[in-house]
Parts: sequence; structure tokens; C-alpha cells
Amino acid sequence: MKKTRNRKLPGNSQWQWKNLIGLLPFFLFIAFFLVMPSLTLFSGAFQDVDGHFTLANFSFLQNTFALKSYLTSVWVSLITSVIGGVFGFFVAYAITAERAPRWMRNVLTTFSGLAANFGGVPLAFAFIATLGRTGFITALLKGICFNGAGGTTICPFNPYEHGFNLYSVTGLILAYTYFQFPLMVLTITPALEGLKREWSEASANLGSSSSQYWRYVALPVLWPSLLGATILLFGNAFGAYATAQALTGGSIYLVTIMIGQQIRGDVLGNPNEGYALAFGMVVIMSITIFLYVMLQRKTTRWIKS
Amino acid sequence: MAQLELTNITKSFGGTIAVQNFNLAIETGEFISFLGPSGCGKTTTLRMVAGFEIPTSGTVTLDGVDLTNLPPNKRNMGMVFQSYALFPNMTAAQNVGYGLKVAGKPKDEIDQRVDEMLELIQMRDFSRRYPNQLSGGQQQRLALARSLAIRPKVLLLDEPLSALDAKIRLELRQEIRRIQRQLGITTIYVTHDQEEAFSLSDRVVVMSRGLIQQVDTPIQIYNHPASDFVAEFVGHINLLPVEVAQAKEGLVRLGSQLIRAGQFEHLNGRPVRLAVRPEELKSGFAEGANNLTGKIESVTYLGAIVRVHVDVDGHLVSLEMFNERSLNIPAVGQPYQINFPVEACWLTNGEKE
Repeated sequence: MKKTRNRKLPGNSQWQWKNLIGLLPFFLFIAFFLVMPSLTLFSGAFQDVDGHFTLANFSFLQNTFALKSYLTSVWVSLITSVIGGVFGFFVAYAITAERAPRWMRNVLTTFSGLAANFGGVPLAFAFIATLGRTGFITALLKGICFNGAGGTTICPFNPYEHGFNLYSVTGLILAYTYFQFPLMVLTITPALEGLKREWSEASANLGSSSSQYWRYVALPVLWPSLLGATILLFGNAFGAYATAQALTGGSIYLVTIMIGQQIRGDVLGNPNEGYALAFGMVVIMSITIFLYVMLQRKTTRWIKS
Repeated sequence: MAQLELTNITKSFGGTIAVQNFNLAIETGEFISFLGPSGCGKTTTLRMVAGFEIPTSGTVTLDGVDLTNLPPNKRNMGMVFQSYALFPNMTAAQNVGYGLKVAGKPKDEIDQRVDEMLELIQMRDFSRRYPNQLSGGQQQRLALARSLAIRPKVLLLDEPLSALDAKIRLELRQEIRRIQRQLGITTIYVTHDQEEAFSLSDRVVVMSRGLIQQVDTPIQIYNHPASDFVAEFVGHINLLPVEVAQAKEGLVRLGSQLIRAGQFEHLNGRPVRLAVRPEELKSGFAEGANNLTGKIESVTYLGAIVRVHVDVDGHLVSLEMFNERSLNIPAVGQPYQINFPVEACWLTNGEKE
């Protein structure tokens, strides 16, 4: 009885402080590298170059050029998150399937871990080296030629003669998909592993077909995870900068590229307008992250039951 | 004719034989338990009946129809899993109605059947709850209702109570038997708990290493085990190494003390063991019974039972007594006399013939 009375309960402030000491480095990191930059960004968005309060930085909302950059960013992010999400889901399903060989799973998981983090200039360079105008795959495809009528030579596989251009939005989507789908594999694999074999067996035992099982059980259970992972992919693409900059040289106006131009201090640069553009991104990203966390919580609760 | 027949069933995984030459005929409405230690092949056999495993050889027939290669969703068998396997995204009512929904039954019929099933398991008030809002016992009752909702011909239960605590297990055990009797459904129950198997079943199949050791009523299995394995696996038993003293008189010797063990001429010349259940042994001397003397080695309290080990010429003999108020508990090291009826023991040379 004496022990129980003296024990430090979770509500006790001393108990809480002792445990929080371990989290101090994390809090410091968050304070210096998330909170303070965000505050600078937020305050900068509402200030002019002299530090006075203004809403003028948000005049970009009337600027079709800036609004178009938001639309392009949202479009590229949406397309790559859906393509990467669908493709990544099937790859994750293949490696978590009951009969999938262990080695395949190891290889694909390692590749996904690597590819999901392979972005920026190296990724852009890799794509230019393979699918650029003089890339080796382009050269390979160009080289496949046939003799046509009247002694002419037809080379039908040159992608650039069929409207493909790596330095366009299409090329950007292709490059983004390269790191989007492995991220989906890494994110969705735990959720797929959470699908219990007994659920599919119970479903079959009750007379359902495989498609009925997926329709009524597996997909509803996975749905929050799938959507959450897709939102994560969206955020991942939305915030990407280096790959687009290196691949297209800033010729495609994404929000991140516009912010870069404003902050880098070009002749026409205005850091405070850059802050305002970034503020808009933070709002969009906050919404996506909020949705992601909410949906993840829902799935976790189901899988734990 | 039996309703469900398993004929010469063998199942191997790679080079490992999980089930071998399994033959069993189950009558309509019968409650059969597969009892055995982990890895004995009982769950594999059940899964072959359910269609989740295909036998390497042999056949499974239900009402004369060969089901051996039929997929699980065409077998009309209800299965209850150890881990409940309830669908987490569905309420209790939706779980129960799932089998009818996928079969394309009208909504009215589904609702009526779900009500009926929830009433059967006394969980009507929980129809809108999700599985994670229910206790383990409630989840398992729900799993039972879900499997019965499709009116299966056979009910299969794979260690359904092993994840529950002792008190709930006992309650659910009685409930399973009540529901099974009420519906008259043929049931196969897999368990490693002999008390569960004995209290529920009409017949018990004792298995070891993929082989059937004995198929019989619980009382026959307990009182007349077909092998040393069954005798040792079911309940407690003393298996004492004895020497044949006078075969014609049916006498064997435990240390220096003689025991009358009935006919055993067929065991002549072989090393033998004397088998006797601890509850058959009594303290004191009894006229016409086998009487042994030794000294108390240990006394263990098991609640209603007191287990006493007596050292008889270097051999430990276990006896069990009811923990009555009048029980005079012996002290360790005290000389002690025990007796048991001649007909309560038998001799074995490994496999009882």
C-alpha cells in the first residue's frame, strides 16, 4: 500500500519533466529548423522590404502567372501521386503476397528505399542521360530502323518524333514517378501486411469470391492507408524543387521554382513575395498532412482490433 | 451413411508429412474434437476439410459429394478462427450478414437472419458495435454467429477459445455446446486442451505426429487409452517400470513389492510398464487390492485436488486426493501406504494391444 501511495503517477509534473528531458534534442531541432523558419516565413509574407505590415505580397493571387504555377504544381503532384500510388500499390501487393519469394521482397524493398530518396540533380541527370535528346535509350530507340518503300529508311521509335520531350511537364511527371512509386511501396507495405490472412479465409469460407473480398473487406480496410499514402506522395511532389529545376532549367513554372527565383535575389526578385508564395504552399501542405494523419489513425485503429 | 467422410487423407509440405492415412466418418449432428499437441496435424486436417489446403492424397466427401478439390467458398462450411477473423471495417451486424450479402440474399432476409443469430448469441444490443469495441469473448461469439448465419452443413472451430481467459473459456464452451445442440449441426472442434475436448465432444480423435492414435468417446479414451501416448497425453498417469515376477499368476514387481496386474502372458519376455491413474490410488491398506508402501516425497496443492508423490522403492508414484476438510495431509518423509484395485491398472510394452 505504501508503495502505491508514493509511486509517481503519469499525472505528476515531476514524472513528466523527467521523461521530457529525453525529448529535448528533438524539441530544439523543431524549434530551430521548423518553428523559427516558419515564423520568419509567415511574418515575411505580411511585410514589405522595409518591414512594414502589408498584404501586397499576396497580390500574386491576381497574377495568372503565379496562379498557373500553383495549378501546374498541383497537377504534376496529383498525376504523379496517382500514377506512383497505383503502380506502387501493385508492387507492394506483389511482394507481400503469401507466395512471393523472400528474395524478391528484399530486393524490391531495398530498391524502394534507395529510389524513394534518389531525387534532385542526380535524378535529373540520370533521366537526361537515358531519355534526354542524346540519352542512351533515346539513341537506342532511334537506331531501330527499317528499310521503307523506295529505298527510304524508317526509324519509327524515336520518342522525340512522337511528341515526347523530357524537358516538359511529361518528362517531369516521368522523373517524379521514379521516386513516387517506391515511396508508395514503402508506405503501403505495412498496411498490406496488416491485412490478416484469416480475413480472406473467413471471407472465402462465408462464400465470397476474391473480388468480393477485395471490394467489401480488403479495400475498405486499406482505403484510409491508400488515400493517406497518396496524399503523402502528393506532398512529396508538391514540395520538390531540385529535380524540376535541374531537368527543365526553370522553364516550367512550378511554385517551388517561382519561390526560388524570388528568394535567390534575381533582378526582379522579391523575397517577401517568395514568402507569400511559400505561405500558400504551407497552407496546402498543412491540409494534406492533416488529412494524412487523420486517415492513418483510422487505419491503425482498424488493424489493431 | 456418414455425413462427412475423410478417406485416406495424407498431406505433406515439401518432404514433411503433416497428416498421414487419416480416416474418419462423422455422423450428422455429431460433435467431434481433434485433440493433440502442437504440430500433430489437427489444424491441417481441419483446413483440408474447409478447403484451405488440398490433400496430397485421399478424399473429403460431404453427403456423398466429393469436395476434395472444391474451393472453400463452394463448400458451405462455417469456420471459426482462433483469432476471430472478424472484419474490422464492419459492425457486428454487418459481420454476421456478410455471408448472406455476398450470396446476394435480399436485405429483409439478411436483416431477419442477423437478428436471429445475434439473439442466439445474446448480443442483439451490440449489433452496431465494431469488433474493436467488443471483448474477446464477445468477438468470438460474434464469429460463431457469423459462421452459422449462412446455415452451413458443417461447423469448423479452430482452437476458438485459446486466446481467451479461463473463466470466459468455460462460459463460451458451454455456449458453443448449447448452440450446437440447439441447431443440431455437425461440428469439428480443434483443440490441444483435453478438458475442452472431453467436455464438449461426442467423440474425440487423438492425434500425434500426423497420425490418428485413437477415435472414441471421451470416457473410453480416458479409461481405455489405445497407446502409451494417449494414456500420457490424456490426464495424468503413472507409468511405472516393473519386472514380470510370475506371469501365470499375473504378478509383477515394482522394486521389491509385488503387484497383481491381471493377464499379461502376451508380454512375456519384454520390458513392461504398469499404468495406473493417480485418482485410482488411495491411502491406507485395502483387502484384495494392490498395496504398496513407501514414503512421502512431495505434496502439491492444486486447489480442489492435492497431489502426493510417494517414493516406492526408488520409483515415484503419484496419487490425487480431493481436498476435503477431513483430509489428513501427510508430511514429506513420512512412511505411507497406498492401494489400488487390480482392475484399475494395466500393463503396457509401449503400444497397448
